[in-house]
Amino acid sequence: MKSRLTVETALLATTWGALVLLPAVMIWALVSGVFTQEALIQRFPDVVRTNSLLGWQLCLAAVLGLIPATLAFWVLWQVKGLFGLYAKGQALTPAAADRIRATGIGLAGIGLLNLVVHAAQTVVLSATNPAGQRMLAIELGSEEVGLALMGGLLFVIGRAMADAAEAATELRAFV
Amino acid sequence: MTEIVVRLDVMLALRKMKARDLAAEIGITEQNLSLLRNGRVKGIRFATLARICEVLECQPGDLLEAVSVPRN
Repeated sequence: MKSRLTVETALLATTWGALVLLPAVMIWALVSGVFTQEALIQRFPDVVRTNSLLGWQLCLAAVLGLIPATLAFWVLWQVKGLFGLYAKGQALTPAAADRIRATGIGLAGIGLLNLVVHAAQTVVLSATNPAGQRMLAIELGSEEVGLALMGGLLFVIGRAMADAAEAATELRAFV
Repeated sequence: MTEIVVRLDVMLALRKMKARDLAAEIGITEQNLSLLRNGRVKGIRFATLARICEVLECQPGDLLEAVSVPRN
Protein backbone atom coordinates (compact mmCIF):
# COMPACT_ATOMS: atom_id res chain seq x y z
CA MET A 1 0.00 0.00 0.00
CA LYS A 2 1.30 3.40 -0.95
CA SER A 3 1.52 5.77 2.01
CA ARG A 4 1.17 9.51 1.52
CA LEU A 5 2.13 12.22 4.00
CA THR A 6 -0.65 14.78 4.21
CA VAL A 7 -1.17 17.68 6.60
CA GLU A 8 -3.81 15.58 8.38
CA THR A 9 -1.54 12.57 8.89
CA ALA A 10 1.33 14.85 9.98
CA LEU A 11 -0.95 16.51 12.56
CA LEU A 12 -2.17 13.09 13.71
CA ALA A 13 1.40 11.85 14.15
CA THR A 14 2.33 15.03 16.04
CA THR A 15 -0.62 14.62 18.40
CA TRP A 16 0.29 10.97 19.00
CA GLY A 17 3.81 12.18 19.84
CA ALA A 18 2.40 14.73 22.29
CA LEU A 19 0.19 12.05 23.87
CA VAL A 20 3.27 9.93 24.53
CA LEU A 21 5.43 12.88 25.62
CA LEU A 22 2.96 14.44 28.09
CA PRO A 23 2.92 11.54 30.59
CA ALA A 24 6.68 11.21 30.15
CA VAL A 25 7.14 14.89 31.00
CA MET A 26 4.80 14.52 34.00
CA ILE A 27 6.82 11.56 35.32
CA TRP A 28 10.07 13.41 34.63
CA ALA A 29 8.71 16.44 36.54
CA LEU A 30 7.92 14.26 39.55
CA VAL A 31 11.27 12.46 39.47
CA SER A 32 13.47 15.49 38.73
CA GLY A 33 12.24 17.46 41.73
CA VAL A 34 9.84 20.01 40.30
CA PHE A 35 7.78 19.56 43.46
CA THR A 36 10.62 19.90 45.96
CA GLN A 37 10.32 22.48 48.74
CA GLU A 38 12.73 24.88 47.00
CA ALA A 39 10.97 24.55 43.67
CA LEU A 40 7.56 25.20 45.25
CA ILE A 41 8.88 28.26 47.10
CA GLN A 42 10.07 29.62 43.75
CA ARG A 43 6.75 28.78 42.11
CA PHE A 44 4.72 30.42 44.91
CA PRO A 45 6.82 33.40 46.01
CA ASP A 46 3.81 35.19 47.55
CA VAL A 47 2.89 32.37 49.93
CA VAL A 48 4.23 33.32 53.34
CA ARG A 49 5.38 30.26 55.27
CA THR A 50 6.25 30.31 58.90
CA ASN A 51 7.17 26.61 59.07
CA SER A 52 9.01 24.36 56.66
CA LEU A 53 6.74 22.34 54.40
CA LEU A 54 5.61 18.90 55.55
CA GLY A 55 5.62 15.81 53.37
CA TRP A 56 1.84 15.73 52.93
CA GLN A 57 1.86 19.36 51.79
CA LEU A 58 4.43 18.59 49.09
CA CYS A 59 2.49 15.50 47.98
CA LEU A 60 -0.87 17.27 47.92
CA ALA A 61 0.57 20.27 46.04
CA ALA A 62 2.08 17.86 43.51
CA VAL A 63 -1.16 15.92 43.03
CA LEU A 64 -3.12 19.16 42.61
CA GLY A 65 -0.57 20.38 40.09
CA LEU A 66 -1.10 17.27 37.98
CA ILE A 67 -4.89 17.74 37.66
CA PRO A 68 -4.74 20.35 34.81
CA ALA A 69 -2.14 18.19 33.05
CA THR A 70 -4.55 15.25 33.21
CA LEU A 71 -7.25 17.36 31.57
CA ALA A 72 -4.69 18.49 28.98
CA PHE A 73 -4.08 14.81 28.21
CA TRP A 74 -7.83 14.35 27.61
CA VAL A 75 -7.87 17.44 25.34
CA LEU A 76 -4.93 16.01 23.37
CA TRP A 77 -6.87 12.74 23.03
CA GLN A 78 -9.82 14.66 21.55
CA VAL A 79 -7.51 16.52 19.15
CA LYS A 80 -5.94 13.20 18.15
CA GLY A 81 -9.42 11.84 17.40
CA LEU A 82 -10.25 14.95 15.36
CA PHE A 83 -7.09 14.69 13.24
CA GLY A 84 -7.77 10.97 12.84
CA LEU A 85 -11.19 11.81 11.38
CA TYR A 86 -9.60 14.44 9.10
CA ALA A 87 -7.06 11.87 7.91
CA LYS A 88 -9.95 9.52 7.03
CA GLY A 89 -11.64 12.32 5.08
CA GLN A 90 -14.43 12.71 7.64
CA ALA A 91 -13.96 16.41 8.35
CA LEU A 92 -17.58 17.50 7.94
CA THR A 93 -19.21 14.93 10.21
CA PRO A 94 -21.06 15.10 13.55
CA ALA A 95 -18.21 13.10 15.13
CA ALA A 96 -15.65 15.76 14.12
CA ALA A 97 -17.96 18.51 15.44
CA ASP A 98 -18.23 16.65 18.77
CA ARG A 99 -14.43 16.44 18.99
CA ILE A 100 -14.06 20.20 18.36
CA ARG A 101 -16.67 20.99 21.01
CA ALA A 102 -14.99 18.64 23.50
CA THR A 103 -11.63 20.28 22.80
CA GLY A 104 -13.16 23.71 23.46
CA ILE A 105 -14.73 22.56 26.72
CA GLY A 106 -11.43 20.95 27.73
CA LEU A 107 -9.36 24.07 27.03
CA ALA A 108 -11.78 26.30 28.95
CA GLY A 109 -11.71 23.68 31.72
CA ILE A 110 -7.90 23.83 31.88
CA GLY A 111 -8.11 27.62 32.28
CA LEU A 112 -10.64 27.27 35.09
CA LEU A 113 -8.72 24.42 36.73
CA ASN A 114 -5.48 26.44 36.66
CA LEU A 115 -7.30 29.11 38.64
CA VAL A 116 -8.78 26.69 41.19
CA VAL A 117 -5.69 24.51 41.51
CA HIS A 118 -3.38 27.48 42.10
CA ALA A 119 -5.73 28.74 44.82
CA ALA A 120 -5.90 25.28 46.41
CA GLN A 121 -2.12 24.94 46.30
CA THR A 122 -1.66 28.22 48.18
CA VAL A 123 -4.09 26.95 50.83
CA VAL A 124 -2.17 23.66 51.11
CA LEU A 125 1.27 25.33 51.26
CA SER A 126 0.19 27.75 53.98
CA ALA A 127 -1.95 25.23 55.90
CA THR A 128 0.62 24.71 58.70
CA ASN A 129 1.02 28.44 59.31
CA PRO A 130 -0.44 29.79 62.57
CA ALA A 131 -4.06 30.94 62.47
CA GLY A 132 -4.32 34.32 60.78
CA GLN A 133 -1.30 33.68 58.59
CA ARG A 134 -2.86 31.08 56.31
CA MET A 135 -3.75 32.32 52.88
CA LEU A 136 -5.86 31.80 49.79
CA ALA A 137 -4.43 33.45 46.67
CA ILE A 138 -6.31 33.61 43.41
CA GLU A 139 -4.17 34.19 40.33
CA LEU A 140 -5.88 35.22 37.13
CA GLY A 141 -3.41 35.70 34.30
CA SER A 142 -3.53 36.12 30.56
CA GLU A 143 -2.98 32.37 30.17
CA GLU A 144 -6.24 31.52 31.96
CA VAL A 145 -8.21 34.18 30.07
CA GLY A 146 -6.66 33.07 26.78
CA LEU A 147 -7.54 29.43 27.43
CA ALA A 148 -11.13 30.34 28.33
CA LEU A 149 -11.52 32.47 25.18
CA MET A 150 -9.92 29.83 22.97
CA GLY A 151 -12.13 27.16 24.53
CA GLY A 152 -15.26 29.23 24.00
CA LEU A 153 -14.28 29.95 20.40
CA LEU A 154 -13.70 26.26 19.67
CA PHE A 155 -17.02 25.37 21.30
CA VAL A 156 -18.85 27.81 19.01
CA ILE A 157 -16.94 26.50 15.97
CA GLY A 158 -17.92 22.98 17.03
CA ARG A 159 -21.60 23.94 17.16
CA ALA A 160 -21.36 25.57 13.73
CA MET A 161 -19.65 22.43 12.43
CA ALA A 162 -22.47 20.28 13.82
CA ASP A 163 -25.02 22.40 11.92
CA ALA A 164 -22.86 22.22 8.76
CA ALA A 165 -22.50 18.43 9.12
CA GLU A 166 -26.29 18.09 9.44
CA ALA A 167 -26.78 20.22 6.30
CA ALA A 168 -24.18 18.15 4.42
CA THR A 169 -25.91 14.91 5.45
CA GLU A 170 -29.23 16.27 4.19
CA LEU A 171 -27.63 17.42 0.93
CA ARG A 172 -26.23 13.92 0.37
CA ALA A 173 -29.82 12.62 0.46
CA PHE A 174 -30.59 14.69 -2.68
CA VAL A 175 -29.89 13.41 -6.19
CA MET B 1 -51.02 12.85 4.61
CA THR B 2 -49.70 13.39 1.09
CA GLU B 3 -46.57 11.76 -0.23
CA ILE B 4 -44.63 12.31 -3.44
CA VAL B 5 -44.17 9.10 -5.42
CA VAL B 6 -41.59 8.83 -8.20
CA ARG B 7 -43.02 7.25 -11.39
CA LEU B 8 -39.69 6.92 -13.14
CA ASP B 9 -40.13 3.17 -13.79
CA VAL B 10 -43.33 3.84 -15.72
CA MET B 11 -41.66 6.45 -17.94
CA LEU B 12 -38.63 4.19 -18.50
CA ALA B 13 -40.97 1.37 -19.58
CA LEU B 14 -42.91 3.71 -21.89
CA ARG B 15 -39.68 4.93 -23.51
CA LYS B 16 -38.26 1.38 -23.54
CA MET B 17 -35.10 2.65 -21.89
CA LYS B 18 -32.84 0.93 -19.38
CA ALA B 19 -32.08 2.60 -16.05
CA ARG B 20 -28.38 2.17 -16.72
CA ASP B 21 -28.63 4.14 -19.98
CA LEU B 22 -30.66 6.90 -18.33
CA ALA B 23 -28.10 7.20 -15.52
CA ALA B 24 -25.32 7.52 -18.08
CA GLU B 25 -27.29 10.11 -20.10
CA ILE B 26 -28.10 12.35 -17.16
CA GLY B 27 -24.74 11.92 -15.48
CA ILE B 28 -25.63 10.37 -12.13
CA THR B 29 -24.61 7.00 -10.72
CA GLU B 30 -26.80 3.93 -11.19
CA GLN B 31 -26.93 3.65 -7.42
CA ASN B 32 -28.38 7.17 -7.07
CA LEU B 33 -30.86 6.53 -9.88
CA SER B 34 -31.93 3.33 -8.14
CA LEU B 35 -32.49 5.26 -4.91
CA LEU B 36 -34.58 7.78 -6.84
CA ARG B 37 -36.65 5.06 -8.53
CA ASN B 38 -37.39 3.46 -5.18
CA GLY B 39 -38.26 6.77 -3.52
CA ARG B 40 -35.43 6.47 -1.03
CA VAL B 41 -34.20 10.05 -1.48
CA LYS B 42 -35.20 13.17 0.41
CA GLY B 43 -35.31 15.28 -2.71
CA ILE B 44 -34.33 15.78 -6.30
CA ARG B 45 -32.40 18.75 -7.65
CA PHE B 46 -34.11 20.80 -10.37
CA ALA B 47 -31.03 20.22 -12.55
CA THR B 48 -31.40 16.42 -12.25
CA LEU B 49 -35.14 16.63 -12.88
CA ALA B 50 -34.59 18.81 -15.94
CA ARG B 51 -32.05 16.36 -17.38
CA ILE B 52 -34.40 13.39 -16.84
CA CYS B 53 -37.26 15.29 -18.51
CA GLU B 54 -34.99 16.19 -21.40
CA VAL B 55 -33.81 12.61 -21.96
CA LEU B 56 -37.24 11.00 -21.47
CA GLU B 57 -39.02 13.83 -23.32
CA CYS B 58 -41.60 14.32 -20.61
CA GLN B 59 -42.79 16.81 -17.99
CA PRO B 60 -42.01 16.75 -14.23
CA GLY B 61 -45.66 15.85 -13.65
CA ASP B 62 -45.13 12.64 -15.64
CA LEU B 63 -42.41 11.60 -13.16
CA LEU B 64 -43.79 12.78 -9.83
CA GLU B 65 -47.21 12.14 -8.37
CA ALA B 66 -48.77 13.30 -5.11
CA VAL B 67 -50.69 10.47 -3.44
CA SER B 68 -52.65 10.40 -0.21
CA VAL B 69 -51.52 7.86 2.36
CA PRO B 70 -53.39 7.07 5.59
CA ARG B 71 -51.89 8.43 8.77
CA ASN B 72 -50.53 5.84 11.24
